Amino acid sequence: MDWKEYGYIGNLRNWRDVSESVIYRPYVTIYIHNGNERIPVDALVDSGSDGMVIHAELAKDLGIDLSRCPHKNLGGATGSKEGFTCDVSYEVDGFPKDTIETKAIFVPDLPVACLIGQEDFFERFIVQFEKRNNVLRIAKAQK
Amino acid sequence: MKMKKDKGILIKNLAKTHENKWVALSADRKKILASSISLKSLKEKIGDNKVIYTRILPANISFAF
Repeated sequence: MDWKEYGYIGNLRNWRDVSESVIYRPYVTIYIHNGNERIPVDALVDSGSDGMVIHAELAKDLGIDLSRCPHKNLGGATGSKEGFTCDVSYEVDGFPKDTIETKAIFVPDLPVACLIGQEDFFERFIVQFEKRNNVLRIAKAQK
Repeated sequence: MKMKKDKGILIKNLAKTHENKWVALSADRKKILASSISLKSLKEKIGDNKVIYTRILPANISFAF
């Protein structure tokens, strides 16, 4: 099986003391597109997410008019938000020939640029989270 | 001799001023090339350069999506 590796991205928990602690999270670069528009984004790999969630600011760059998209509620561990659903497609860095077509929910004020989840990402890839060494491994799932 | 196994990436120039902002990362994801409060203004700064867009989460907050 052809595994590809991606280092987790670190963020400081305390800006005054770098040595205090760093939290590493599993991000992978994806290329989101809609028609001819294509944007490279670091997406958080979120096994708890039903599907793809995208920050609403990216919609304009993708040529998507959210006022024409159906409303959709998004529930999370700590609350809910209202968003808009729209078809998009993306490729994961390292897998250029595997285009994933999915319905994404665009949400204003999302803390991250993008989440990828169960229905879009995990159904197509075998995923290893190796937290101990802060590395994410991905292989194409065989049909 | 011990081999380094930790493959986590700590962005070299990450700073508090990047919190809650859009940033443009270098292709190796190790450096922030520019940042802005809005994606539109960030893209104006970056022009045609090849970058990866992301957002920097605030410190001192734990996240559960």
